[in-house]
Amino acid sequence: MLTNIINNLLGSNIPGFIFSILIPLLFLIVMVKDKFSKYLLGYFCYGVFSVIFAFILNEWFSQYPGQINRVSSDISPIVEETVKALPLLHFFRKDRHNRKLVIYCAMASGIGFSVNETLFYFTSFVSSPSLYSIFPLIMRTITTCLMHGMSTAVVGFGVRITRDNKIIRLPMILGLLALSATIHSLYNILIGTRLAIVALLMPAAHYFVGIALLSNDDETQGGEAYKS
Amino acid sequence: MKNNLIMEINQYVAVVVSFYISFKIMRKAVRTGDKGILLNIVLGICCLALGNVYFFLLKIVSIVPGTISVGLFAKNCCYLFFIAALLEYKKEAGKRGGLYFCFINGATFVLTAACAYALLANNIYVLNISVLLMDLFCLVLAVGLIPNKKARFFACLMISISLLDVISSIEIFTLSVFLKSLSPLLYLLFARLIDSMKEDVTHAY
Repeated sequence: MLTNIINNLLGSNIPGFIFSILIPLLFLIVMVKDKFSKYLLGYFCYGVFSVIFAFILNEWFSQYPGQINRVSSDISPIVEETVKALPLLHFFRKDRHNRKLVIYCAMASGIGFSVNETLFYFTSFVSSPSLYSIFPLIMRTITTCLMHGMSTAVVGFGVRITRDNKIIRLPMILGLLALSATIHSLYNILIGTRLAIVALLMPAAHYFVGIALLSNDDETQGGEAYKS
Repeated sequence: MKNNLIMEINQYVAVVVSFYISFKIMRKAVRTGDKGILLNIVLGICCLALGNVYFFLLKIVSIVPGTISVGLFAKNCCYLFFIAALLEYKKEAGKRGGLYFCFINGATFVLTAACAYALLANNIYVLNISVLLMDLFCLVLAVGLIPNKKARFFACLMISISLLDVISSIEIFTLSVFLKSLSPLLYLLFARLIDSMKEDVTHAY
Protein backbone atom coordinates (compact mmCIF):
# COMPACT_ATOMS: atom_id res chain seq x y z
CA MET A 1 0.00 0.00 0.00
CA LEU A 2 2.81 2.40 0.92
CA THR A 3 4.55 1.80 -2.42
CA ASN A 4 1.36 2.75 -4.28
CA ILE A 5 0.99 5.90 -2.21
CA ILE A 6 4.59 6.94 -2.86
CA ASN A 7 4.15 6.28 -6.58
CA ASN A 8 1.03 8.49 -6.55
CA LEU A 9 2.97 11.17 -4.71
CA LEU A 10 5.83 11.11 -7.19
CA GLY A 11 3.36 11.23 -10.06
CA SER A 12 1.71 14.40 -8.70
CA ASN A 13 2.82 18.04 -8.82
CA ILE A 14 3.69 18.06 -5.11
CA PRO A 15 7.44 17.19 -5.28
CA GLY A 16 7.96 19.81 -8.02
CA PHE A 17 6.21 22.51 -5.99
CA ILE A 18 8.09 21.60 -2.82
CA PHE A 19 11.57 21.68 -4.29
CA SER A 20 10.95 24.84 -6.30
CA ILE A 21 10.05 26.64 -3.06
CA LEU A 22 12.36 24.89 -0.60
CA ILE A 23 15.73 25.13 -2.37
CA PRO A 24 15.75 28.95 -2.81
CA LEU A 25 14.51 29.41 0.76
CA LEU A 26 17.21 27.13 2.18
CA PHE A 27 19.83 29.38 0.57
CA LEU A 28 18.16 32.36 2.20
CA ILE A 29 18.06 30.68 5.63
CA VAL A 30 21.81 30.05 5.47
CA MET A 31 22.43 33.67 4.47
CA VAL A 32 20.22 35.35 7.09
CA LYS A 33 21.96 35.99 10.42
CA ASP A 34 18.97 37.09 12.49
CA LYS A 35 17.73 34.10 14.56
CA PHE A 36 14.11 35.26 14.60
CA SER A 37 13.97 35.35 10.78
CA LYS A 38 15.79 32.02 10.58
CA TYR A 39 13.12 30.43 12.75
CA LEU A 40 10.27 31.91 10.73
CA LEU A 41 11.75 30.82 7.41
CA GLY A 42 12.60 27.39 8.83
CA TYR A 43 9.04 26.83 9.99
CA PHE A 44 7.70 28.06 6.66
CA CYS A 45 9.94 25.52 4.90
CA TYR A 46 8.74 22.78 7.22
CA GLY A 47 5.13 23.74 6.37
CA VAL A 48 5.88 23.40 2.67
CA PHE A 49 7.63 20.05 3.20
CA SER A 50 5.01 18.64 5.58
CA VAL A 51 2.56 18.27 2.69
CA ILE A 52 4.41 15.03 1.89
CA PHE A 53 3.59 13.51 5.31
CA ALA A 54 0.00 14.77 5.09
CA PHE A 55 -0.40 13.29 1.60
CA ILE A 56 0.89 9.87 2.70
CA LEU A 57 -1.27 9.75 5.84
CA ASN A 58 -4.40 11.03 4.05
CA GLU A 59 -3.97 8.41 1.34
CA TRP A 60 -3.26 5.71 3.91
CA PHE A 61 -6.42 6.32 5.92
CA SER A 62 -8.59 6.93 2.84
CA GLN A 63 -7.87 3.39 1.69
CA TYR A 64 -9.80 1.93 4.61
CA PRO A 65 -13.25 0.71 3.47
CA GLY A 66 -15.95 3.41 3.09
CA GLN A 67 -13.60 6.32 3.66
CA ILE A 68 -13.64 8.13 0.29
CA ASN A 69 -16.37 10.60 1.29
CA ARG A 70 -14.74 11.33 4.65
CA VAL A 71 -11.34 12.52 3.40
CA SER A 72 -11.89 16.27 3.30
CA SER A 73 -14.37 16.47 6.19
CA ASP A 74 -12.95 14.06 8.79
CA ILE A 75 -9.54 12.66 7.84
CA SER A 76 -7.53 15.55 6.40
CA PRO A 77 -8.35 18.09 9.17
CA ILE A 78 -6.96 15.79 11.89
CA VAL A 79 -3.94 14.65 9.84
CA GLU A 80 -3.00 18.10 8.53
CA GLU A 81 -3.39 19.93 11.83
CA THR A 82 -1.25 17.32 13.60
CA VAL A 83 1.45 17.33 10.94
CA LYS A 84 1.65 21.15 10.81
CA ALA A 85 1.87 21.51 14.58
CA LEU A 86 4.44 18.75 15.21
CA PRO A 87 7.63 20.89 15.09
CA LEU A 88 6.18 23.20 17.76
CA LEU A 89 7.22 20.50 20.25
CA HIS A 90 10.69 21.98 19.78
CA PHE A 91 9.61 24.98 21.85
CA PHE A 92 9.06 22.75 24.88
CA ARG A 93 12.81 22.26 25.10
CA LYS A 94 13.80 25.83 24.36
CA ASP A 95 13.08 28.14 27.24
CA ARG A 96 14.96 31.26 26.24
CA HIS A 97 13.03 32.58 23.29
CA ASN A 98 10.69 35.42 22.48
CA ARG A 99 7.25 34.61 23.93
CA LYS A 100 5.46 35.37 20.69
CA LEU A 101 7.92 33.57 18.43
CA VAL A 102 6.09 30.27 18.87
CA ILE A 103 2.82 31.82 17.60
CA TYR A 104 4.53 33.38 14.58
CA CYS A 105 6.38 30.13 13.80
CA ALA A 106 3.14 28.15 14.07
CA MET A 107 1.48 30.53 11.64
CA ALA A 108 4.48 30.31 9.29
CA SER A 109 4.22 26.52 9.28
CA GLY A 110 0.49 26.69 8.46
CA ILE A 111 0.99 29.24 5.70
CA GLY A 112 3.85 27.18 4.22
CA PHE A 113 1.47 24.24 4.09
CA SER A 114 -1.25 26.30 2.40
CA VAL A 115 1.16 27.51 -0.31
CA ASN A 116 1.19 24.01 -1.78
CA GLU A 117 -2.61 23.83 -1.78
CA THR A 118 -2.83 27.21 -3.46
CA LEU A 119 -0.38 26.11 -6.15
CA PHE A 120 -2.57 23.10 -6.74
CA TYR A 121 -5.63 25.36 -7.23
CA PHE A 122 -3.55 27.58 -9.49
CA THR A 123 -2.75 24.65 -11.78
CA SER A 124 -6.48 23.86 -11.96
CA PHE A 125 -7.06 27.52 -12.87
CA VAL A 126 -4.45 27.43 -15.64
CA SER A 127 -6.24 24.49 -17.25
CA SER A 128 -9.36 26.68 -17.74
CA PRO A 129 -8.27 30.33 -17.58
CA SER A 130 -10.83 33.10 -17.73
CA LEU A 131 -11.40 36.46 -16.10
CA TYR A 132 -14.37 35.11 -14.16
CA SER A 133 -12.40 32.28 -12.59
CA ILE A 134 -9.66 34.49 -11.16
CA PHE A 135 -11.85 36.10 -8.47
CA PRO A 136 -12.82 32.80 -6.79
CA LEU A 137 -9.16 31.79 -7.03
CA ILE A 138 -8.01 34.92 -5.19
CA MET A 139 -10.70 34.53 -2.53
CA ARG A 140 -9.79 30.89 -2.07
CA THR A 141 -6.09 31.74 -1.82
CA ILE A 142 -6.66 34.37 0.86
CA THR A 143 -9.00 32.27 2.98
CA THR A 144 -7.08 28.99 2.63
CA CYS A 145 -3.82 30.53 3.74
CA LEU A 146 -5.53 32.35 6.64
CA MET A 147 -7.36 29.20 7.71
CA HIS A 148 -4.20 27.05 7.70
CA GLY A 149 -2.13 29.78 9.34
CA MET A 150 -4.60 30.64 12.09
CA SER A 151 -5.53 27.04 12.92
CA THR A 152 -1.85 26.25 13.60
CA ALA A 153 -1.41 29.57 15.40
CA VAL A 154 -4.12 28.43 17.86
CA VAL A 155 -1.92 25.47 18.81
CA GLY A 156 1.09 27.84 19.04
CA PHE A 157 -0.93 29.97 21.45
CA GLY A 158 -1.41 26.87 23.61
CA VAL A 159 2.32 26.11 23.57
CA ARG A 160 3.00 29.70 24.61
CA ILE A 161 0.63 29.85 27.57
CA THR A 162 1.60 26.44 28.91
CA ARG A 163 5.31 27.28 28.81
CA ASP A 164 5.30 28.07 32.50
CA ASN A 165 2.67 25.51 33.42
CA LYS A 166 3.87 22.03 32.52
CA ILE A 167 1.10 20.24 34.41
CA ILE A 168 -1.69 21.17 32.00
CA ARG A 169 0.47 21.22 28.88
CA LEU A 170 -0.66 17.99 27.22
CA PRO A 171 -4.43 18.20 27.77
CA MET A 172 -4.55 21.83 26.74
CA ILE A 173 -2.51 21.44 23.56
CA LEU A 174 -4.39 18.31 22.50
CA GLY A 175 -7.65 20.15 23.13
CA LEU A 176 -6.54 23.09 21.00
CA LEU A 177 -5.51 20.67 18.28
CA ALA A 178 -9.05 19.26 18.33
CA LEU A 179 -10.49 22.79 18.17
CA SER A 180 -8.35 23.71 15.17
CA ALA A 181 -9.23 20.43 13.42
CA THR A 182 -12.93 21.22 13.89
CA ILE A 183 -12.51 24.71 12.42
CA HIS A 184 -10.58 23.18 9.49
CA SER A 185 -13.27 20.56 8.91
CA LEU A 186 -16.07 23.17 9.00
CA TYR A 187 -14.15 25.24 6.42
CA ASN A 188 -13.65 22.23 4.12
CA ILE A 189 -17.31 21.21 4.33
CA LEU A 190 -18.92 24.65 4.03
CA ILE A 191 -16.73 26.00 1.21
CA GLY A 192 -18.58 23.90 -1.34
CA THR A 193 -22.10 24.69 -0.09
CA ARG A 194 -24.49 27.66 -0.04
CA LEU A 195 -22.94 28.67 3.30
CA ALA A 196 -19.55 29.28 1.62
CA ILE A 197 -19.64 32.86 2.90
CA VAL A 198 -19.43 31.52 6.49
CA ALA A 199 -16.38 29.48 5.51
CA LEU A 200 -14.79 32.51 3.87
CA LEU A 201 -15.46 34.83 6.80
CA MET A 202 -14.39 32.40 9.53
CA PRO A 203 -10.59 32.53 8.88
CA ALA A 204 -10.71 36.31 8.42
CA ALA A 205 -12.49 36.68 11.76
CA HIS A 206 -9.84 34.50 13.43
CA TYR A 207 -7.10 36.56 11.89
CA PHE A 208 -8.47 39.88 13.16
CA VAL A 209 -9.13 38.45 16.63
CA GLY A 210 -5.53 37.17 16.65
CA ILE A 211 -4.16 40.58 15.66
CA ALA A 212 -6.30 42.29 18.34
CA LEU A 213 -5.15 39.87 21.05
CA LEU A 214 -1.48 40.15 20.13
CA SER A 215 -1.55 43.95 19.90
CA ASN A 216 -3.37 44.09 23.25
CA ASP A 217 -0.56 41.96 24.66
CA ASP A 218 2.02 44.32 23.16
CA GLU A 219 0.36 47.30 24.85
CA THR A 220 0.31 45.52 28.22
CA GLN A 221 3.98 44.56 27.94
CA GLY A 222 4.88 48.04 26.72
CA GLY A 223 3.00 49.58 29.66
CA GLU A 224 4.78 47.35 32.15
CA ALA A 225 8.15 48.16 30.66
CA TYR A 226 7.33 51.86 30.84
CA LYS A 227 6.32 51.57 34.52
CA SER A 228 9.46 49.68 35.45
CA MET B 1 -42.94 12.75 15.49
CA LYS B 2 -43.69 14.96 18.49
CA ASN B 3 -40.54 13.72 20.23
CA ASN B 4 -38.47 14.55 17.14
CA LEU B 5 -39.85 18.09 17.07
CA ILE B 6 -39.09 18.56 20.76
CA MET B 7 -35.55 17.25 20.25
CA GLU B 8 -35.05 19.57 17.29
CA ILE B 9 -36.23 22.62 19.24
CA ASN B 10 -34.03 21.53 22.14
CA GLN B 11 -31.05 21.30 19.77
CA TYR B 12 -31.64 24.83 18.48
CA VAL B 13 -31.99 26.15 22.04
CA ALA B 14 -28.73 24.37 23.00
CA VAL B 15 -26.90 25.89 20.01
CA VAL B 16 -28.08 29.42 20.78
CA VAL B 17 -27.46 29.15 24.54
CA SER B 18 -24.03 27.53 24.15
CA PHE B 19 -22.93 30.05 21.56
CA TYR B 20 -24.13 33.02 23.60
CA ILE B 21 -22.61 31.77 26.85
CA SER B 22 -19.27 30.80 25.29
CA PHE B 23 -19.03 34.24 23.67
CA LYS B 24 -19.91 35.99 26.94
CA ILE B 25 -17.46 34.09 29.10
CA MET B 26 -14.70 34.17 26.50
CA ARG B 27 -14.94 37.97 26.66
CA LYS B 28 -14.64 37.76 30.45
CA ALA B 29 -11.59 35.50 30.23
CA VAL B 30 -9.87 37.83 27.76
CA ARG B 31 -10.63 40.85 29.95
CA THR B 32 -9.29 39.25 33.13
CA GLY B 33 -6.25 37.90 31.23
CA ASP B 34 -6.56 34.58 33.08
CA LYS B 35 -4.38 31.79 31.67
CA GLY B 36 -5.30 29.08 34.15
CA ILE B 37 -8.54 27.56 35.41
CA LEU B 38 -10.89 30.15 33.88
CA LEU B 39 -9.32 29.91 30.41
CA ASN B 40 -9.48 26.12 30.45
CA ILE B 41 -13.15 26.08 31.44
CA VAL B 42 -13.93 28.69 28.78
CA LEU B 43 -12.10 26.69 26.10
CA GLY B 44 -13.95 23.53 27.16
CA ILE B 45 -17.30 25.28 26.76
CA CYS B 46 -16.14 26.73 23.41
CA CYS B 47 -15.31 23.19 22.28
CA LEU B 48 -18.83 22.06 23.18
CA ALA B 49 -20.34 25.11 21.48
CA LEU B 50 -18.26 24.57 18.34
CA GLY B 51 -19.42 20.93 18.24
CA ASN B 52 -23.05 22.15 18.46
CA VAL B 53 -22.48 24.77 15.76
CA TYR B 54 -20.83 22.12 13.54
CA PHE B 55 -23.91 19.90 13.57
CA PHE B 56 -26.22 22.90 13.26
CA LEU B 57 -24.46 24.25 10.14
CA LEU B 58 -24.36 20.79 8.58
CA LYS B 59 -28.11 20.54 9.13
CA ILE B 60 -28.65 23.88 7.39
CA VAL B 61 -26.77 22.72 4.29
CA SER B 62 -28.56 19.34 4.44
CA ILE B 63 -25.40 17.28 4.95
CA VAL B 64 -25.86 14.23 7.14
CA PRO B 65 -22.66 13.65 9.14
CA GLY B 66 -21.44 10.09 9.63
CA THR B 67 -21.71 8.29 12.98
CA ILE B 68 -18.16 9.42 13.73
CA SER B 69 -17.39 13.00 12.74
CA VAL B 70 -15.06 15.81 13.69
CA GLY B 71 -17.98 17.54 15.46
CA LEU B 72 -18.32 14.58 17.79
CA PHE B 73 -14.55 14.54 18.28
CA ALA B 74 -14.67 18.25 19.29
CA LYS B 75 -17.45 17.55 21.77
CA ASN B 76 -15.43 14.71 23.30
CA CYS B 77 -12.26 16.78 23.43
CA CYS B 78 -13.94 19.38 25.69
CA TYR B 79 -13.00 16.92 28.45
CA LEU B 80 -9.34 17.68 27.80
CA PHE B 81 -9.83 21.30 28.86
CA PHE B 82 -11.95 20.26 31.83
CA ILE B 83 -9.23 17.79 32.87
CA ALA B 84 -6.70 20.64 32.59
CA ALA B 85 -8.92 22.81 34.85
CA LEU B 86 -9.28 19.95 37.36
CA LEU B 87 -5.50 19.51 37.35
CA GLU B 88 -5.07 23.22 38.06
CA TYR B 89 -7.35 22.91 41.08
CA LYS B 90 -5.35 19.88 42.27
CA LYS B 91 -2.14 21.82 41.84
CA GLU B 92 -3.55 24.71 43.86
CA ALA B 93 -4.49 22.29 46.64
CA GLY B 94 -0.86 21.11 46.46
CA LYS B 95 -1.46 17.57 47.67
CA ARG B 96 -0.11 15.65 44.69
CA GLY B 97 3.38 14.97 43.41
CA GLY B 98 4.91 15.19 39.94
CA LEU B 99 4.44 11.48 39.22
CA TYR B 100 0.68 11.80 39.69
CA PHE B 101 0.47 14.60 37.13
CA CYS B 102 2.73 12.67 34.73
CA PHE B 103 0.40 9.69 34.94
CA ILE B 104 -2.68 11.82 34.24
CA ASN B 105 -0.98 13.55 31.31
CA GLY B 106 0.09 10.17 29.87
CA ALA B 107 -3.39 8.70 30.23
CA THR B 108 -4.96 11.79 28.63
CA PHE B 109 -2.58 11.51 25.68
CA VAL B 110 -3.36 7.81 25.15
CA LEU B 111 -7.13 8.38 25.31
CA THR B 112 -7.00 11.34 22.89
CA ALA B 113 -4.78 9.41 20.47
CA ALA B 114 -7.28 6.51 20.61
CA CYS B 115 -10.13 8.96 19.91
CA ALA B 116 -8.27 10.44 16.93
CA TYR B 117 -7.43 6.97 15.58
CA ALA B 118 -11.11 5.98 15.90
CA LEU B 119 -12.08 9.04 13.88
CA LEU B 120 -9.45 8.40 11.19
CA ALA B 121 -10.15 4.68 10.88
CA ASN B 122 -13.95 5.11 11.35
CA ASN B 123 -13.92 2.64 14.23
CA ILE B 124 -16.93 3.11 16.50
CA TYR B 125 -15.81 0.58 19.13
CA VAL B 126 -12.48 2.31 19.81
CA LEU B 127 -14.30 5.66 19.98
CA ASN B 128 -16.92 4.42 22.44
CA ILE B 129 -14.34 2.81 24.70
CA SER B 130 -12.03 5.84 24.70
CA VAL B 131 -14.91 8.26 25.37
CA LEU B 132 -16.20 6.05 28.18
CA LEU B 133 -12.72 5.91 29.73
CA MET B 134 -12.36 9.68 29.36
CA ASP B 135 -15.70 10.12 31.18
CA LEU B 136 -14.62 7.81 33.98
CA PHE B 137 -11.25 9.52 34.20
CA CYS B 138 -12.92 12.92 34.54
CA LEU B 139 -15.35 11.49 37.08
CA VAL B 140 -12.57 10.13 39.28
CA LEU B 141 -10.64 13.42 39.13
CA ALA B 142 -13.77 15.42 39.97
CA VAL B 143 -14.76 13.17 42.89
CA GLY B 144 -11.31 13.75 44.40
CA LEU B 145 -11.97 17.48 44.37
CA ILE B 146 -15.28 17.47 46.26
CA PRO B 147 -13.66 18.11 49.68
CA ASN B 148 -12.04 21.24 48.21
CA LYS B 149 -14.51 24.04 48.97
CA LYS B 150 -13.28 26.29 46.18
CA ALA B 151 -13.54 23.60 43.51
CA ARG B 152 -16.74 21.92 44.74
CA PHE B 153 -19.18 23.55 42.31
CA PHE B 154 -17.00 22.79 39.30
CA ALA B 155 -16.36 19.24 40.54
CA CYS B 156 -20.11 18.60 40.94
CA LEU B 157 -20.76 20.02 37.49
CA MET B 158 -18.09 17.74 36.00
CA ILE B 159 -19.49 14.71 37.83
CA SER B 160 -22.97 15.42 36.47
CA ILE B 161 -21.67 15.94 32.90
CA SER B 162 -19.63 12.74 32.96
CA LEU B 163 -22.49 10.73 34.45
CA LEU B 164 -24.98 12.12 31.93
CA ASP B 165 -22.59 11.21 29.12
CA VAL B 166 -22.14 7.67 30.42
CA ILE B 167 -25.89 7.16 30.93
CA SER B 168 -26.85 8.62 27.55
CA SER B 169 -24.37 6.30 25.85
CA ILE B 170 -26.58 3.41 27.04
CA GLU B 171 -29.20 4.91 24.67
CA ILE B 172 -32.48 4.18 26.40
CA PHE B 173 -34.66 6.46 24.29
CA THR B 174 -36.85 8.17 26.91
CA LEU B 175 -33.89 8.63 29.19
CA SER B 176 -31.62 10.04 26.46
CA VAL B 177 -34.38 12.52 25.41
CA PHE B 178 -34.60 13.66 29.01
CA LEU B 179 -30.82 13.92 29.38
CA LYS B 180 -30.33 15.78 26.11
CA SER B 181 -32.99 18.27 27.16
CA LEU B 182 -30.78 19.12 30.11
CA SER B 183 -27.90 20.38 27.96
CA PRO B 184 -28.96 24.09 27.78
CA LEU B 185 -29.26 24.00 31.58
CA LEU B 186 -25.65 22.77 31.85
CA TYR B 187 -24.41 25.79 29.88
CA LEU B 188 -26.33 28.09 32.22
CA LEU B 189 -24.69 26.35 35.18
CA PHE B 190 -21.30 26.93 33.58
CA ALA B 191 -22.14 30.62 33.23
CA ARG B 192 -23.04 30.67 36.94
CA LEU B 193 -19.73 28.95 37.72
CA ILE B 194 -17.76 31.59 35.83
CA ASP B 195 -19.69 34.36 37.62
CA SER B 196 -18.90 32.80 41.00
CA MET B 197 -15.21 32.53 40.04
CA LYS B 198 -15.21 36.19 39.11
CA GLU B 199 -16.80 37.05 42.49
CA ASP B 200 -14.05 35.04 44.24
CA VAL B 201 -11.39 37.06 42.43
CA THR B 202 -13.12 40.34 43.37
CA HIS B 203 -13.36 39.30 47.05
CA ALA B 204 -9.70 38.28 47.05
CA TYR B 205 -8.78 41.80 46.04
